[in-house]
Amino acid sequence: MSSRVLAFAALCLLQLGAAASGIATHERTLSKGTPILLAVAPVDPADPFRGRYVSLSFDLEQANHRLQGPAPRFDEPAYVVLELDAQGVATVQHVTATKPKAGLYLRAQSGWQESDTTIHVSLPFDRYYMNETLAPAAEAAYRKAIARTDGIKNYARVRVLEGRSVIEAVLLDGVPIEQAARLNK
Amino acid sequence: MNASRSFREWLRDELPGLVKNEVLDVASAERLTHHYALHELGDRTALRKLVLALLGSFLVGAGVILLFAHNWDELSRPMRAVVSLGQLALAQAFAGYVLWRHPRSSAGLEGGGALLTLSIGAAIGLIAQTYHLDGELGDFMLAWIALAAPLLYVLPARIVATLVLAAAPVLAYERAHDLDHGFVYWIAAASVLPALELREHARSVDGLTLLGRWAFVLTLPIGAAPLIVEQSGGPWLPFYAGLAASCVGLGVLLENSASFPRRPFSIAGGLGTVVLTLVLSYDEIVDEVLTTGPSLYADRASWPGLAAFGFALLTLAIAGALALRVLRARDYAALALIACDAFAVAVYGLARAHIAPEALAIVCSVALLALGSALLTFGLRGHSASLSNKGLAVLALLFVARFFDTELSFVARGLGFVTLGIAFLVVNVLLSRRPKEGSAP
Repeated sequence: MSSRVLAFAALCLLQLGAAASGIATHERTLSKGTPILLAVAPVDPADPFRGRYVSLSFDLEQANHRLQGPAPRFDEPAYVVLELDAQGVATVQHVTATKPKAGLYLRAQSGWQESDTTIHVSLPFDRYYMNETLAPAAEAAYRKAIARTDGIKNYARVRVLEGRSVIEAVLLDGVPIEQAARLNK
Repeated sequence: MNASRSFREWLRDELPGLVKNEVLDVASAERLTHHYALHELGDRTALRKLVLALLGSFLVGAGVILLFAHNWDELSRPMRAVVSLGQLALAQAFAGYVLWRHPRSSAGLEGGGALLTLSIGAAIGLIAQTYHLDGELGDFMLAWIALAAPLLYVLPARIVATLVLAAAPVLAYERAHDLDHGFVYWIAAASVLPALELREHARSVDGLTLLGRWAFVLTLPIGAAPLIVEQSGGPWLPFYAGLAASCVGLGVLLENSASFPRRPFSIAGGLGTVVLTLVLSYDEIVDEVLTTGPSLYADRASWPGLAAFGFALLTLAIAGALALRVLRARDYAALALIACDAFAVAVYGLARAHIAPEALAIVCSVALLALGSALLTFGLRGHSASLSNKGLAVLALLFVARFFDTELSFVARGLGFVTLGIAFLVVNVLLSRRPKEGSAP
């Protein structure tokens, strides 16, 4: 067997390893991570390679958060330390440039600062991929849900483990978005 | 050698029979083969196999990506992992089998390379979809290129280079406003350079290598733009002048007297030179070079700015080295083009010295007039209709540009166009009466 074939085999292992490590990291977060709820507003675009998705914007990204310690540089990693209420809804305790040693926190990206003591953050997830026939119905279901005036809330259920995070589900008034979309079709 | 392809194919098929029946001896047959460059005709069966293999691989790979993009609810996460890794492993197995058992099969290697490249995209696409991963198209393409580009060094499939080059400008523009300023384009482009096979004499270069070269000359000016054009201090002007001159020089070294499709560097270099000089003949553009001057740049010294000027110096250095080779080859048409690019760099220096933009724009119009006249003159002297027409085309372009942005009367513009049209007709009639045509640059 030539050295070129061996090099090719090594490269194949590297490609498979990169893909498999992506799967393993996210599976571990999903199985062992703490579930949190983040208030969300979904809309429906499409990606040519990964399919249709609902684009998520979070209330948490619109707000200004308390900064603890030195400020991270713009667009650099920032750690969002979270606290949960009785329903599991997450709110931000503070943002720090240093990785916390313990507790519930998310690795995000730093945004603009209004003052020396406050900062905006950008969360590391903004897409929820859906079946191509369900995604438009999901957006319609969401629009229908927000038109209601009885104070319903829409959340993304996210698993968080050691700063890493994976979206598990999007809930419209407590109902998974896929189910809401099917009801709306 | 001006014989038609059909004649050459007929001769190639006839020669074995003529030798066998002792009409020709082997030495004569070899001389005919060499004279008519019959070895360049290639094997049609092999070409058909190659085209079919590439087409089949592209269709299968693109189909798999689209099927995954549907997002099948019925598939659990473990099943998606199996499908994602499984299809990648299958493509790897196919390409690996060809590399191991049929390392000389061009169709197998190119088809396997195309299939594996698209399978990598399908695999990471499905993983991103399953775990709802963040990231715009640029981030996705960066991961794709990073996993696919190393294939070039172990799998001799030039189609991988072309795919990477085609994707690289998209990557640059998608990431232009990120921290890397489109710098990743340069890494992607540099990673495929070995596959372009910059060896002398285009006649020995096959179609896929030429495809890679075309992809390179077409994507480099576009892919470089996010880093080069956005920087203050106007590094784009010396960069594009150096790039155009380098292409002209490479064309002389690698593509001398080859046919149009086999001359990517010559054509890109010639067009680039003319377009750059024409752009500089507008005083607003020259003024822009002034207003984004070095004082502003000095205040904002940053690695993207330094990198942009570094690349500009690099292209100028390459152009300078190649210009010496062109001078030795005595290709005066190519030298005229390189001189025009050098003139554009001089305009950059004069703009920096705060010479009035209006004056520089007029001088650039004069430079374009000189270039067109020089090409026309070399064409007439060498009895080359092709070169003469190129000179006239440059002059026509200049006339059109100037006549639409000056205050000349309709009569003067009309007479100018009629004069140029007559010049085209006269030159071509005169040259068509000549028995032979000289070489084009």
